[in-house]
Amino acid sequence: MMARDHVEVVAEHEYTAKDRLTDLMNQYEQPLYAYLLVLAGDREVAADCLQETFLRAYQNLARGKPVNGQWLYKVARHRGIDEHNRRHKAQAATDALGGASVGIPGESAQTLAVRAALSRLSVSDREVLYLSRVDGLKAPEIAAMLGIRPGAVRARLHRAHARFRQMYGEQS
Amino acid sequence: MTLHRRFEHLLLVRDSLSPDDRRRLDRHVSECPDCRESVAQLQREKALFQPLGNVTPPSGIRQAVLAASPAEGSSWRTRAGRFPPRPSWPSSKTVSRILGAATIVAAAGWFVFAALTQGQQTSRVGVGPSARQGHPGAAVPGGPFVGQVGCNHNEQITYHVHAHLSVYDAGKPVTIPAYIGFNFNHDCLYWLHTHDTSGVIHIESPRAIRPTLGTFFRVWRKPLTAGRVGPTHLRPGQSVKVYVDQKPYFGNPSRIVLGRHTDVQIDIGPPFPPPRGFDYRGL
Repeated sequence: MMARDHVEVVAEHEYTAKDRLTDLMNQYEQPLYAYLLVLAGDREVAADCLQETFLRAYQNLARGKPVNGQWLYKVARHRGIDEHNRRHKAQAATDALGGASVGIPGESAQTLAVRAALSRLSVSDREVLYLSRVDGLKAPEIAAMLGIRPGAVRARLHRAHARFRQMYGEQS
Repeated sequence: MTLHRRFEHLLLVRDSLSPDDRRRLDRHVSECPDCRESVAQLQREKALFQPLGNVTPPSGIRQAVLAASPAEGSSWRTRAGRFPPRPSWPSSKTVSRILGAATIVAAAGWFVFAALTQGQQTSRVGVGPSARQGHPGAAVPGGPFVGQVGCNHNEQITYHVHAHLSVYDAGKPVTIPAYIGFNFNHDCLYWLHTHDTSGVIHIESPRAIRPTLGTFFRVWRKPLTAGRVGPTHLRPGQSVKVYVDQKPYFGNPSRIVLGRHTDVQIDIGPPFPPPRGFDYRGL
């Protein structure tokens, strides 16, 4: 009888959606948050988007649908851009987005200046810069993530870089 | 000038160029002082960006997400291949409340942990340019986490305990292989691993963790199910008994927490040999 109990209990436990979610959070929570922080330009918005992204991931996993890093980035990106646009409309009177909560406490003045310069770029410019310079993705990988052609990524990257230099030069 | 702007454009996407184009670009750069300066400037700018990736997410998010997820038991992929129904999701207010409660719990847990590990340094090892530093469970990205168990290039000894696993199939010992948890593809070592065939599980991590037997089997990449225990398939008429610290264990074996000197014995039988214990002397 004891053995039968054991068998039944063991049978119930396979790799659950929560296990998979935990694995994904271990691997992607930090890099996704850093990405969202640049994309949305606000700590609280980034945290909200991150939370919603993982909740949606669990929703998919629980229904047996696969979730991987690219899926997470795509969902996070859409959430980040939606939030950015919503806030942009709400703050139409101000020039720059983000404001006081853009940076992370304890960051160097140089990093804050980089964040400030990025916040003055369009979302599309800052995300290709981030994915290329921080995450180290190549043009075809960024293209797959954004749903555009690699050539378009290269052009966007070139343009974003020039704009960033200009903005950063004005900051410093 | 136009020519050099074009080369600068190519420098930005150098990694995406074909090998031939890359060689041509590098050859040109080696002969062009202006281009070398452009390369140096790009590298300086790249260094400017790196701190953007080293931020730590708010501590409550993980707890809030996991707390808002429906309870375990709804298996992601059941043996019958059916999936559980779509769960209903809490409102954002509910999630916020959970987040608040989880933050308090996390803070309390942190204080307890800090008190227990006073004097120990919880080192964070980040190897490679995109290592996730600042994350409490940070490990190199090359080695994916399994549960709460990360994979680092170097052994982590801030938290270092040993557990033991023995498996018997019809009374005969099943060898637990050496080098479980050595991920040669990613050149890293999981915080749960074996060095030899003694069944000793080394738990070596940069912080105190409470891994489970299920996690060990996942690191091993072998199933722990009704029909299989690691490499051993149950034959008709066989069943499983589990002992923890020489006492019968009636719960889910996957959930057995591996702590200091935890001794797990899994018998596939009949016959079911009695628990034998393990001599931890020297460990």
